[in-house]
Amino acid sequence: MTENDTYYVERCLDGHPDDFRHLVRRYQGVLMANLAGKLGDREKAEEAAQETLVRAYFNMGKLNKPGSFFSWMLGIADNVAKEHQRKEHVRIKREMIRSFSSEADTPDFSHDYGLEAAVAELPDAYRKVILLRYYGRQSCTTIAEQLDMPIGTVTKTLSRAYAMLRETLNKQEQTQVNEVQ
Amino acid sequence: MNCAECKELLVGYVEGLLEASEKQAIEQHLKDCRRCREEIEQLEGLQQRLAANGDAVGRSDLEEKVMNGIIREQKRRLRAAEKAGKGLALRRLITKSPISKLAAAAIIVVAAFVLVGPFFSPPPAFAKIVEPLLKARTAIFKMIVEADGLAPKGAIEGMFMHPGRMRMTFKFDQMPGESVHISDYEKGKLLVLTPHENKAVVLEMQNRPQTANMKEINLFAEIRDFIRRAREDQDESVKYLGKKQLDGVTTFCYRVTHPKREMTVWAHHKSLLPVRVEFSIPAIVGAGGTVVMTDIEFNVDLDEELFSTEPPEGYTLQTMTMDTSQPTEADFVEGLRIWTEFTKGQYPAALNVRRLAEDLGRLLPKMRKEQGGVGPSDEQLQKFTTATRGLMFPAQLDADSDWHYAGKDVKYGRADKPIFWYRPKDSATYRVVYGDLSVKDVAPEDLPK
Repeated sequence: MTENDTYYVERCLDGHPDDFRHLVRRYQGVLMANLAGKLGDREKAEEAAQETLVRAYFNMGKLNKPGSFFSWMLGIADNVAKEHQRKEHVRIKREMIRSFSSEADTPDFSHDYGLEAAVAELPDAYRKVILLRYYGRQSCTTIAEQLDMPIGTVTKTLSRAYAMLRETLNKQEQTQVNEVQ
Repeated sequence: MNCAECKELLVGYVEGLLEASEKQAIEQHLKDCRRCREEIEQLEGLQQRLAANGDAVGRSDLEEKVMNGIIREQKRRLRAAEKAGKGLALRRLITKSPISKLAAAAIIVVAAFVLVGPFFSPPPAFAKIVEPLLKARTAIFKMIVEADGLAPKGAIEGMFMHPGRMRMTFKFDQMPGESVHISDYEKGKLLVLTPHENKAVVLEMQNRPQTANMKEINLFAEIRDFIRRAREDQDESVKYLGKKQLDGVTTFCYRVTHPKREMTVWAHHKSLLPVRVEFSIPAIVGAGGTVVMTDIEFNVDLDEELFSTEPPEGYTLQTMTMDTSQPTEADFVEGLRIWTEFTKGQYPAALNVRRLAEDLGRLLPKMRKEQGGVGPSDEQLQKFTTATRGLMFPAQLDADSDWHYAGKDVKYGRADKPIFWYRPKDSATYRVVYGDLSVKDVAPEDLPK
């Protein structure tokens, strides 16, 4: 059974807290990707994703438009990430991980911190579309509905996002090459 | 097609969103243009990298962790709210509104009835749990309602006397005086006293469910048996959680699960008597939380007079009746009808005690204004009681009844708007109630989306 976000948000507000699990299922991947990129660590990301979802649950009454749950939740995630970052010397950690992963011969995409970091650095509008497409596994049509935009805008946004990602990833490779030299 | 045009359509092309003619034009161009071919290869490479990472990240399973996190946070908030003496309390909400104290009493009676209801009309599976509790001759205990936004800081002192008599004294920190609820199940009467105002409300229970062992209703003593049986693990619904320390006492802890609620019992390791019992508040109340019983003592000497349902002399008295049988679909529809009568055609925003009470808190002052400063009449209060009972219909539906409520913002009379649907037990079709309060049988595939 898949209903839209509005349905589940209203169910929760109407006293069916258990229905929140549908929203967790739908967005856990998206959140993990977004937070892994920002925090540079899968474990920390998982912690932050949990915190984000729990916060979202308790603040759902403040959500003006139930349909905008996704964007609103992403905003919470960003706040949570900022708070976590303040506590952590994330930059150092990410640096260490990067040098570690560059030692590997074959790139292991399940721990692709470079990519996650690049996604996390995208401006809001582009990040949303990439997150929904690859980490929420939604089709372009669904994304268009979800974000209330024409499908042409979705593909244009994707196209621009790819270009930005490639640029960031190229820079990362450049840095690694320089470090090795 | 030139390279710029091709680049523009490339994403649409790999996503399979282009029309046949555009697709053909791109494929033609790709055949001739090496740079664009490289472009598409790079694009696909990036997409694969994203998809692989998406798969890896998507494997994490946060569901149970988050749901448990919510429960933990809920409890933490309750404790904090209790400490701060906060909580948008039902009682406070009502006292703040300029409505008659009697109306307030009526609402509390209904809410209290829902909370303690299972003592009186246990659903079959739950009976097993309460049965041992029901066998003590007398008992006294303290009760705390730990519900977010429902109960203010305060305490309830409870007394029980065989058969089926109960006296509960509610004291809330921010409220003057106290209120006393005395119920006598055999007589079918509930007396609510507010001594500092010399007011009494008598609620006559009608059609109360008859159980075979009505005479044997007894509260606590044989919880030993229950625990023994639970330890022998004869019942799948009972789970032994092990030995737990509770305020310096070693206890055996058991959790009993019922589709609609959950109960945890801590029993003293030597006497096997329960020292703490905690049960969840049913979802229909609209506020997660628990009711906790502590300081339980059995078979103490109590004066029969404490359980008299005769209003004391000098009290102003109001009498109401309340049907205490399980509400039916017809009662539900009637409840909705009464509700729209008072609200000039609006259906309730949600079907839970808390929202209904909040709505009522807004509605009653309005009525008072319209009636030239006169509060709700006895007749109107009686109607509210009837409506509230009917609207509790979903509470006793089975877990697999799949009920939905969609009456928010629907106006009375909209025959095209389904406002409530559920699947009766063992039925292949659903019952759907529409905005004009007609009810139809509907196949699952034709249900409202």
